This record gives sequence, structure tokens and C-alpha cells, in this order.
Amino acid sequence: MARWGMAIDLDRCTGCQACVVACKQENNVPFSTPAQAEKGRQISWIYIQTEIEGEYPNVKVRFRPMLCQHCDRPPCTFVCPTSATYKNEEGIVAQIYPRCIGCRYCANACPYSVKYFNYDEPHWPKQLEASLNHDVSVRYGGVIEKCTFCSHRLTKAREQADAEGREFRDDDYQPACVQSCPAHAMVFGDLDNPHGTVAAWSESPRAERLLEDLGTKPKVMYLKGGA
Amino acid sequence: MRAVRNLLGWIVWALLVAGATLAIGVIWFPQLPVRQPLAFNHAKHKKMACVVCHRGVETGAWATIPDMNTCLNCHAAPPVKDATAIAIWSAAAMAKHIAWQRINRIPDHVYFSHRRHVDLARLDCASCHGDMADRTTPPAHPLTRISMNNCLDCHRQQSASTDCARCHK
Amino acid sequence: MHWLLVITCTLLLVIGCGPNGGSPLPATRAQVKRPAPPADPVQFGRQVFEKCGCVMCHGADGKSGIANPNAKTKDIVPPLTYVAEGYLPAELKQFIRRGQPNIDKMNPNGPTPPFKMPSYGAWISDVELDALQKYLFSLMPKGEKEAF
Repeated sequence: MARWGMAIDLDRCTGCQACVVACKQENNVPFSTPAQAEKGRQISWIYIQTEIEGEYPNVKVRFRPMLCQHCDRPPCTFVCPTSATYKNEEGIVAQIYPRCIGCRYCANACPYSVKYFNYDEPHWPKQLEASLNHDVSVRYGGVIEKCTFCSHRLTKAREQADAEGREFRDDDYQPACVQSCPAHAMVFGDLDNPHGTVAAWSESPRAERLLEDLGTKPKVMYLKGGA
Repeated sequence: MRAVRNLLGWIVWALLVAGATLAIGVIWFPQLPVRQPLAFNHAKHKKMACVVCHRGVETGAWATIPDMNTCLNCHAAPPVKDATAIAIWSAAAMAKHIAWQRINRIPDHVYFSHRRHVDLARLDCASCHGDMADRTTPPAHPLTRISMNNCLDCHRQQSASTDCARCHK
Repeated sequence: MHWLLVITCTLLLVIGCGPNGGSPLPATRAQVKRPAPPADPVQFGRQVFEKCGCVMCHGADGKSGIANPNAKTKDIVPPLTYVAEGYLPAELKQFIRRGQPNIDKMNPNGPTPPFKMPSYGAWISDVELDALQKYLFSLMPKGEKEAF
């Protein structure tokens, strides 16, 4: 079985937010109102974390796309009382909405704060309802949601490969964010594939993982930006 | 005092029975009865494979219900002998398309692909949809109970994936 | 009094915990599998004949067609036993793909025959069409040679 992971080169990331938009479009992420944003309740499965260094006039801004790290030891799954979130055999930490009771223990447990709770019923402008993705469910108020590495794309890619009578290769599938990045800053693939790009990027001296000392074993590799 | 307590007891019991009947009714028949605009007779068309009209089963996620053009492929002109057929033709003739009502539904949070099950796993349609081929009129309710337990029973028997994320989108 | 309540609750529990949620509708019974297509093209062709609905109008083994009132072909959908005599393989395949939208009338003033031969164009793949043609040619009764 594959073990899906991602590598992001922060030197290439321009903070353009194409990944943010692509993710929201692909996964039916609800719109946020200004009132919700004020309470810090906006939902973005992937967002650009900005880090400002230095003082004027020597200011530098660094961009870091922040998404679910799909840890190999995910704290969120350890605390879920209903197994609504769990790690499947391919390493994807899945979120099953009908099982979620909205207790938010997982959101508390996540050290990266990438689990989002639907405080309100989702809504979109009327004109955008036609663009909802049929392959992803529309969540309702009271459940947690988070990045799924677009696992619906994985299911469809596997079926397509089976229908065409060929072996499924790990480059048959990539999440929407990776697909949309114009700077080619993100790569996605099977971490256990020694010839894959993700494995190659992970061996870079610039590669680091976030909050590694917590023992979560995140599967998103960040390649540190330059000077 | 005792009379009031007795009455209360009976009321509680009656409410419980009523509530339970409602609950069972809703669980066993989760849909209101469906009325189709035309009394299509599946039994007359039984010799054909389901896929001839329900074209989506081998190529896509949804089986699809045939449109007027599919019917017109064989039915060139109005029937002349069978009175029921003539009545159905007259009813359909005026409409540009027939507003078939969907009867087999799955919740929004479930992903089900007909191609995976019919083309790749080679399941027979009757396994999940019951004996539709023998029906002379459209049913008001699904003919079998399509539930997660039933899906999982078969998945376990056939060693198909039971990973939640495979089917829950 | 309260034992009536207990009995009702137990009954409901037993019904609910029953197989298939106690529902009177049959459970799905997905053990029935369709067989894989046979290797022999004539056998496969027969399956295609049944699957694509040809059998509905032309009858089992193309022996006798259903009634098609006022059709020139003697008021019935024509049987297919002798197609090997009337068509070359390529002609037959082309005919199946094209279909016959206009059926000649026996009585020009009478009603249009209700059934026509559909155009199988995109409905049938090349492999299936080839097998179907071989099957149809095999319907010739044994011992009779083709006229060509």
C-alpha cells in the first residue's frame, strides 16, 4: 500500500494562494462571513501562513502553505471518541462527517491547528452552488472538517486505472493544491517509493518537518526558503 | 388519584407505541412513495440487459434513467394493438422529456460508482436493485433495503475495501 | 401496568436488532456475479445478441420476430436465420451500426409499423460487433451452404 505524503519548496512558494482557491473549489469548503472571520472561525483547509522577519526597511515575508500534515502518529485520531477521524492504511488521516459528533477534541489535540469546526451551516452565493463538486459531500453545521489529500481523487483514479486494465501508478493522483500551484512548489506522491519525487525532495538538506519533537511524524516536508 | 396514574400510564404506553411505529416506519421506508409519470412495464422489456437503457452502469458512477431518445431508438411509431401501450404512448407523446422520479437514493456523504460494481466487479443488477425485471409497473419504494450494513456484508465476503474513506466523501 | 411497557420495549428491541434492521424488504444479496465473456466468439456473440436487446424483437436465436403490424416483412420483425446468405460480414456490421429507421409498410395507407431497427452506432464496441456477426452467421441451419 502506498504511504501518501507531500513536499513543499518554500523557496518557490510565492504566496499566490492558488492552492487555497483550488482546495476550496475542489472540496466544497463553505464561504466565511466577516462576522465569522472576526471570531477566527473561517475555514481554509490549506492557507498561507505568513512569517514576517526583520524591521523596516529590511522586512522579509516568508510564506508557508499550512495544511493537515497527515501525521503517522496523529494526535487527533487518538482522542476521537467515535472514530470519525482515523488514519487509513495508506497514511491518509480521513474525516468521516456522519460519524462526527462535534465534540472538537481532535481540533484541540491537533498541534498544527488544522482541524476546522463548522460553527454555522455552510453557505455559498447562489450562483456558485452550481459549481459544487459532486465527488465531495457538503458538510453541515456541527462537524469537523480538514484536508483529506483529496482522497476522492484517489478513489476515482484507482477506478479509472482498473477500468483501463492497467496498474495504478502513484502519479495518477494528486490533490487539487498540488495540481494548481503555478510555481511548481508542491510535489505529492508515495513516500515509500524510493524513485519518487517526494522521496528525492525529502533528502534535500533544506528539508524539515514541523514540530517534529512532538512525535507526530508529519508527512508534509517543507524545504526551507533561501536567505 | 390512582385513576389519574392509570390513565397517565396508558397515555405513556400509547405514545410509546405510536412513536415506535413512526420510528420503524421511517427507518424501514425512508422515502415517501414515489409516483412515476408513466407506468413503464419492465417485464415486457425483460429480455434486454439493463445496460441497454441504463447506459451509465458500465461507464460512470450513476446508472442514469433513459431519456426519450433511447426509447425512440426502437419505438418508431405508436403501437397499434395493445390498449395499455397505446395509452402510455399517448401520455408520453406530448412531453419533450419524461420526468422520471429517482427512487434509489443514497445519502450525499456516500460515493458509489456503478462502473466499479457492474463493469469491474461484475455484479448482477438484481443483487442490489431486486427483481425489477419482473415488475409490470414501477414500484413506489426501492425493492431492497440499501443500507451500509448490507454493503459492508458483501464487501467483507468479497474482500473488497472496508476503508471508510473509500466510500464516504 | 409497567410490564406492558417492558414487553413493548423488548419487542421493539428484538425487531430492531433483527437481521437487515428487521426490515421487511429483502436485503441486497450481492453474491450473484455475471460470468466473464466467453472466449469463443460465437458464444460471446450470442451473449451480445441477448445483452443488446436483439433477442427482444428477433426472438431467441433469431428464429421468430415479434409482431410488427403493417410491416412489409409479413407483419413481423424479420427472423435472422438466413442473414449469412443475404449479407457479407462487413455489410452486416454496417447494417447493425446504421439501423433501419424507416420500415417499409405492407399497406402504404396503413399505420406506421411500431418498431424499427435501432442504429447501434455507439452502443456496441468493435469487439462485440465482430462477435455478433460471427454468431449471426452461425445461425444458418447445418448442411445449407451460403448462396454466395
